[in-house]
Amino acid sequence: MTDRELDQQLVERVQRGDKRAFDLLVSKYQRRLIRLVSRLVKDPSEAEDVAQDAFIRAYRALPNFRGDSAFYTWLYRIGLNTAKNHLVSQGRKAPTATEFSSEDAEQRDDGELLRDINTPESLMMSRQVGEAVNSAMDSLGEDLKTAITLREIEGLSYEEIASAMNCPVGTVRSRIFRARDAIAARLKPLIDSGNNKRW
Amino acid sequence: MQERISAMMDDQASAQEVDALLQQLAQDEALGQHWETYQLIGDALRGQPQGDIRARVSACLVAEPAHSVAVEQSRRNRPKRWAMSLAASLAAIAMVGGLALHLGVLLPSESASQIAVLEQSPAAPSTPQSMSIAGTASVPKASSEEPPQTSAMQEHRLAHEQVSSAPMMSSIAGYARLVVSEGAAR
Repeated sequence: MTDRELDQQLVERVQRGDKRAFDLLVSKYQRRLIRLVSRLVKDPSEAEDVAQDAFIRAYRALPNFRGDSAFYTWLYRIGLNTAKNHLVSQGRKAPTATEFSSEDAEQRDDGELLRDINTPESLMMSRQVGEAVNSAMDSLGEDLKTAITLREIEGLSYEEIASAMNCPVGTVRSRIFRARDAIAARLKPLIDSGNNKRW
Repeated sequence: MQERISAMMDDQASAQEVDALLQQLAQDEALGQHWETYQLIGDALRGQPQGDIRARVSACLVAEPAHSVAVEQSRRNRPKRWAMSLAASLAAIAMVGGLALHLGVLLPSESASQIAVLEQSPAAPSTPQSMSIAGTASVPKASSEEPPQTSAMQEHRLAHEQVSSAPMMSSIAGYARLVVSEGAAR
């Protein structure tokens, strides 16, 4: 089942009344949406508020989502409109379509963005998460590190990774899981301390 | 179980597996934490800025009503757009084809009888009788004076079709007649 089909399954569960499924969608897309909104709304805490508002609007509009486009494409438009409306309501000028394209939203320099959108609190957490992930990656065996890198950073499928690493697909699946599990163990203290906090 | 969640995130689960896993994720908060952490790891590796508004969104949604089953069922029961388009296309093809076939069956037989009549009187190929028998049909032997008449009729028909208020059907029928007529002329 593809990523889009998985999202559609989650959407349909929400449409049937499963609010928890919407939590899973929020977990999946919150950072991408915050990043998108931050292109327009420069203030970091405002950007989080706007992203939150966009998710609420998306939830309310979900009964009308027919799956003609991917869920994120649909959410992206809601995020963009929510950010523009926010700017207008604040008496600020919303960028026009030519001033703000989807390419801008997805391709601007990440380092610049990180500086732009992180509150001191979230900046600290970003650093801590980044350090924990990097440290965990360094401690991984070469096979696990390669597998998770090819999957998460290069975006290769399991079949492509199996071909590149000359191993069965089942081994790729196992390596990627073990890598995630090892990194998750390093992140656990941070996640536990970060629960119920804004970061 | 965590390995299955990991695989599901990477498009490596069947529809049945996904359904079962999502059911468990909906019921087990701890399991959901694994999903959340794996998403966080992926975003961190891709350099996405960190942030967590899930708890805030979730708190806001407490006051929101859950969506109803009827929405989903009505969506599923609605005919697919492509199926409706396909049905409309097939209906149009069948209609045009039927008209063309119907006219094609009539006209060739008329032409054949006209040709037969003409062949029975080879000595007088240009007599008024043979001309009148040929009528408006485009039989080559008797067509020396026909093209202007046929052309005028076709022009008249086309002009009529253009100003006619009946939109699609008459236009198609007229076109079908014209094509068949031209085909018979050849």
